[in-house]
Amino acid sequence: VPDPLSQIHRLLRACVEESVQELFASYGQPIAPLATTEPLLSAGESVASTIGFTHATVSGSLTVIGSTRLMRVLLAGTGVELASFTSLSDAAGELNNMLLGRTKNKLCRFGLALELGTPTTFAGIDLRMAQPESRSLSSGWSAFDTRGDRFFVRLDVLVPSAVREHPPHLEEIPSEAALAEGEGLLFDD
Amino acid sequence: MTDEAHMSKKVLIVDDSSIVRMQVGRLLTDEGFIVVEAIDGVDATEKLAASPDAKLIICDITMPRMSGLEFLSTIRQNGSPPVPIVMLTTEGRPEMIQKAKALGAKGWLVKPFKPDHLLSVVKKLTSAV
Repeated sequence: VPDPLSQIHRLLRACVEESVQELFASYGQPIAPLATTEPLLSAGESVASTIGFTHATVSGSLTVIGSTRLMRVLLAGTGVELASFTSLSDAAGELNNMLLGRTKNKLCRFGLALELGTPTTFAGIDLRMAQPESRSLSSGWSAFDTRGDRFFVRLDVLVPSAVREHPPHLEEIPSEAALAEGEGLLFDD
Repeated sequence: MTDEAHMSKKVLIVDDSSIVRMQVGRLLTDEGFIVVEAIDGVDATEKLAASPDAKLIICDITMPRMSGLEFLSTIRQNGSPPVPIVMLTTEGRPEMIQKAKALGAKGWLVKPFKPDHLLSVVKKLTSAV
């Protein structure tokens, strides 16, 4: 029987990693996980974004880091020019928003309806992330390669002590499925 | 290509992301719509008061100061003109969609949006006004 606490962590991490792959695919940009992630360095001009999330069972934050070149590649097909610091930062925030939104919609099926905050963004040259001294389920980086560019995702998860003592067993509830990305509904009067 | 049937129809885009406002704005202006932008629900309330001839509002959910659902509730309570509103958000939970519907939204689209899909929704809802 899987440990319910580690099930929560593993579910979040799996949903985030799946969402990264799906989101980049929606932009026509191939992406693959990198097994070796040393050094954790986004070379050249880079942007980062963090969004917090909360729920009675789990809270935490998702951080993404990528080069400004990658941001421009992702938005190239939309006709939007990322010419200023503001627009580049905003692109990183929106990318993270769509990534966490996609993750949230996946978690709905398991009864975890996360509430999201608004993005905080950063920019700089050669952004280097500190590698945790020990790996844990609750905190860690995932690295991806996308046509030679690196894309980094950090998921930090906190499960409140009361929930840790009696963690729920998460089961998929198909009726709770969220509307898929790119889809829509028009309501009848 | 510009569609003359949509010339001068005004659409209010409400999103705290300038990227989304740019993407949607460019798509609609290329089709002949006039676009007004607002950065959150508070700004949108002011912009709508200044543009009562808006034919459609495209609105995000999670925004600073005033969310999309709060904006929906506010304009329904303060007697603003009955402009159709379609939500454009990363949110896809059924209960949130039902809340928006109950508050009078006409539609719900999940980001990232498909340009053709968004355009068809905008044309349908602005044609009905």
